[in-house]
Amino acid sequence: MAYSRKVLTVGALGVAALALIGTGAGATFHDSAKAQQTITAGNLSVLITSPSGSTSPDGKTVTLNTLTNEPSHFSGPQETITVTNNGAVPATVTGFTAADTTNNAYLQGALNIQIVDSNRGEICNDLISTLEKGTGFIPIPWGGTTIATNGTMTVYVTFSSTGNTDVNNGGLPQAAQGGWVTPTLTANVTG
Amino acid sequence: MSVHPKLMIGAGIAIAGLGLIGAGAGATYTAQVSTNTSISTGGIGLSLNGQTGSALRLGVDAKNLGPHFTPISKDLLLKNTGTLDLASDYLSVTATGCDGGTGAALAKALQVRLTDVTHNMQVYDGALCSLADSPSGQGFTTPPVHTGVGGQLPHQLGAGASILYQVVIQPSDTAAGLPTTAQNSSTTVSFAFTGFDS
Repeated sequence: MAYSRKVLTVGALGVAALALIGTGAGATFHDSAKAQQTITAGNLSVLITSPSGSTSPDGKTVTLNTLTNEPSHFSGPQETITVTNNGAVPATVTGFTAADTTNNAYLQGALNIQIVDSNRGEICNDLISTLEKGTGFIPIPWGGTTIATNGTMTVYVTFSSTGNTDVNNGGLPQAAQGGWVTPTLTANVTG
Repeated sequence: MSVHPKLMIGAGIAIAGLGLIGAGAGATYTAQVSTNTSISTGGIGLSLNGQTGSALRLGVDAKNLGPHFTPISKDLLLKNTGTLDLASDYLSVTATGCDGGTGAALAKALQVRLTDVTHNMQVYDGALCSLADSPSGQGFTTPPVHTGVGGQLPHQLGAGASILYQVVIQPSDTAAGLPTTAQNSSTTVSFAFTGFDS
């Protein structure tokens, strides 16, 4: 049987292609190595307490003693507040957020708060109304305090009237009589 | 210009990758704890003989006085009706005529004696106009903690407490009585008490 030249050429190309496929599929040395690691996300958790206050069941809120019947010039007791890192990762307190409820704008406007870090010094000493302007965020001047796992951060908080050391100047205004204000200070923590 | 399909795919992957990086950087853990307290203020209040306000009448019948009139005596019960102690309290006395105007002859011929009956202490005994001009000496506390509100009385007034004062007005010269020039004249004497909680 005689084949034309064209047919022979096609047949030769076809064999060559099959040969290449065969080389690729069967001539590969192979091996494998595998590494694996278990990654567990730590949890960030802090608690707040005060020897002169009561802590909520979840440990997230402490209510300090009430200051009642305060005169025009007063300085409340220095309250000690402890933030404890009970999580698994270091916690950094970046600052505090001030807010309040009140029935007397004059009292609110003349109430001062001082926050002091027991190790690093003063965080703020200003009118609450001033601190609440804008976002109400009070940053820690040195960028934040990092609490190691199971560690603590202690701050001292003191509420006072403005000009509480000068009986002739400052102090609460006359219209602040009979008012109340409930300030809330929230510690903002990142992990 | 047409864009090759492979180039478009590559660009898309690059953008998606940047997006993931951004999400990872912002997803820090956060937590919050808070503290709160309640602060309330007290108040101060004064009453005089059971009345409050700034325009109380003493109820003294002192009209048509003769030159040797019977000393005018009035008890003043000052009470702290507020919830705060008064750290200092003051008495300001004014009398028309002390400035030399109408009634000057009468005002300048009168003497005032102020006694803290509760503490059995004489606070002032002298010319009416001297008391009005610069209350000082005797039972007044000097220097006063606050100025511009009269003389500082010697005793503090706790919340709910009272001090009984007695005011006696008579001619300075009890023997000679009022001068002739004081005839048909009058003076209005005002007593204003002020309290401070600091």
